[in-house]
Amino acid sequence: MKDINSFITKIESKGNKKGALEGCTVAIKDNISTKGIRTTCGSAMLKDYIPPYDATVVDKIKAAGAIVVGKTNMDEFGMGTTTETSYFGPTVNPHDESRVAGGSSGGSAAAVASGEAMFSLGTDTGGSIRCPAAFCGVVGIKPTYGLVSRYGLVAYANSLEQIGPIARTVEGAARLLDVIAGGDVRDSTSSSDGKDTKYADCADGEVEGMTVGIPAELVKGIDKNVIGPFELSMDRLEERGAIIKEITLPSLEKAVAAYYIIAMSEASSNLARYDGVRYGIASGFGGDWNQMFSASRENGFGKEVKRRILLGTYALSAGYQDRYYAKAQRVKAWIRKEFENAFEDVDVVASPTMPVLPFKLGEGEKDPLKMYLSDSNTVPVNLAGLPAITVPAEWDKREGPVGIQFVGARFQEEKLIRAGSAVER
Amino acid sequence: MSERSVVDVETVQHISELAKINLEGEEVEMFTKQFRQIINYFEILDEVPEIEIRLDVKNVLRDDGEGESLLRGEVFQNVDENTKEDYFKGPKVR
Repeated sequence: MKDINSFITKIESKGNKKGALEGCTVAIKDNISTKGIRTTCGSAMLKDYIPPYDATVVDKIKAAGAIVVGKTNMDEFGMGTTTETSYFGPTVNPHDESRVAGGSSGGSAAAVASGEAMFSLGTDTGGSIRCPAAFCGVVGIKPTYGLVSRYGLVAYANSLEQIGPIARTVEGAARLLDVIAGGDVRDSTSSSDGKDTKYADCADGEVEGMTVGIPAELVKGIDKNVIGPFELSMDRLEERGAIIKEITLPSLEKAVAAYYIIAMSEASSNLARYDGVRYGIASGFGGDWNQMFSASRENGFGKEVKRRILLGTYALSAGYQDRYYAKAQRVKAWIRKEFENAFEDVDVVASPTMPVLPFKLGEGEKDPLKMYLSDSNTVPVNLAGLPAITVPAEWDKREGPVGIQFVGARFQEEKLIRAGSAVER
Repeated sequence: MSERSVVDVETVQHISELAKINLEGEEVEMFTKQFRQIINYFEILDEVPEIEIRLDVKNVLRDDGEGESLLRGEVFQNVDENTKEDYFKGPKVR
């Protein structure tokens, strides 16, 4: 098989503990800290960075007997929809080598789809688990904000991101979620809600009487090769006794703009730590501090990272905060409210995960706004802090994988797992 | 409606100074063009209904106490070219 470039670092290791993941191979996205194993975030800035500690999720999977097989490729610092912004080159889609694997957790999704690992961990700030899982034809779960500890995750936009599982089946992803879920004293935004749920037991395809809402805003303007498989999946749910309902959530039209303003603003602050002194590549000590920082950051960051830090800096700069950041926060509250209201009438919300088929390699390079707009169906979930799952629909083998997304109320992962497992059967 | 923002080369140079990222001339031009387009798109936030922002948050505190900390050597392993006798090394303060 052709090398699809799913790993940045491969690891020879043996799991030696007994537990829920005994004998299972797991790949870990390269922005999750692994003690003694370099963790690059797909960036030249951290190409030699070796964390002195393990992330909580890494502790947990090791304790459950997992065999860690490597650190996976990703868009630089999680900023991208294709894994093409990685300093280590793009990950190729395992189903079609002319297409991208999606991003930013492209390596994690491709490693599972190609069989290089049974499971993987990805991270999702605005769709970074769901997009590549959909593009690679595998299952991905973005947990409720707070369900999984972020301790040891290299921050991009803290208020939005979560670590989550990727697997070939809904049951598999749920099994990995069982291992990593739960509160952590080292992450004060984590919660112990939901810790007693047995997610893997919920993959029973039982959707009799479940109400599924389809928001008009998320099925508008969708590629015809995507909408066909989506409709077939909804028919399948109906045959199994689910009730399909059309709904509207007008706030979602503003989600992409609000998401990018918040994510870029947080990124501009979080990535300020890469100064070439404590981390990253130093670029000479000749000038003053400002000159040294500015040179290190010019050399260490790629274009998309620079673009987002600069736009975030602009959005937070004097005179613009109210115009951009404050309004984006208002949209976030509006989206949260609309979802809350929707979940009084429906159990889950369904849509295509991505509005398009996997991009051709190189397609989005010149037009960042076009790439941002392709996140329309995934970013609302992060703004509202909700859980979501993507499950592959039956797709046309000549075209490429299509993912179906289900969104639930906070800590209602069980319902998503039920709905998802009904689609895959 | 707020006044439309105009992003020009000077704006991009100014933000690059604030963000402490040097840019090459070509990059400044490319970013100027792209930022105009992106910021123009952000104007769709001008029409948002008044929403009451309810913050359902509470402080998460723990008892202060001694715990394990990282070993100095492990922390400095990432900056080996930039250290001097267990200190981070930086440029001279003039």
